[in-house]
Amino acid sequence: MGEKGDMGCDETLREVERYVDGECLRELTVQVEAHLAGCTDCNDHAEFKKHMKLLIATKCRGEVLPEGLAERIRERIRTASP
Amino acid sequence: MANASRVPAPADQDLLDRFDRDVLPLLPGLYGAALRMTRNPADAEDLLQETTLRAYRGFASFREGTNLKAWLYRILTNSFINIYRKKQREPKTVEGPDDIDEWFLFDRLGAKSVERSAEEDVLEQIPDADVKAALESIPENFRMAVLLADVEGFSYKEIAEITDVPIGTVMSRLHRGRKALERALYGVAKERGLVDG
Repeated sequence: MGEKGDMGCDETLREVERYVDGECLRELTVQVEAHLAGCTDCNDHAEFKKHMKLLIATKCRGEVLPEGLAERIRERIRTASP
Repeated sequence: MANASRVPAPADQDLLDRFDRDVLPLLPGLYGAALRMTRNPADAEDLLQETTLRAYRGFASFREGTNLKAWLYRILTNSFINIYRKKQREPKTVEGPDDIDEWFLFDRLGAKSVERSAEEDVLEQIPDADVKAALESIPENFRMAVLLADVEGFSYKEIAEITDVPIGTVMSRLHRGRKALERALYGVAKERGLVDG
């Protein structure tokens, strides 16, 4: 591990998933970004993780409710006691 | 608060209005999650019916201003576990594939995948249905974590609350789930002739 504010590649790659998920605290985020800015290889890894995350999101979203399901749900609720 | 313990009459109009306003817009997302969990439309519809009914019954005590979406996904998750895990008799996955390289897909597709245009990118060329099937193929606990984080956009803390496990477990499931998904997607890419080998 490098000195404070000077993270190495191994440590950066260990944190990169949390970083891409936006789950690093501010101080760690700054350190990861400082490393990524100066390291093409780690930056490529981070970009790949971002790309994967976006791919899963876009390709698995957007299901359409089956015809009439919302109405069936409302009807069942209307006749149920809360 | 003389009314605090009153039992609302059936079809309480205020409750129905709130349900229409706040819950109906979230149904497509919940249905998508139900599909990924149950892996078939008929069970997904049953699961959504059960979830919304439970939600409606709990709605009167649900405090407005708290996280409604997370609350609904928690009910969805619990309903799924109660009903379908028994029915499907799928072994509850505690351990999963952990022998995969840390950067399995990156090592095979690399930075090129990010730099290429959408038409040239191997991953972009995989049809939506195949990506959904790949997600459905990974162990249930991992699938839920990836679904909640990447498709539904929940934070680690929210996923911990929805699935009732510590944050460390969420992170571990996410990490391993993504690795399993990468391997599944690579398999699809090979089958479709998008990559060599």
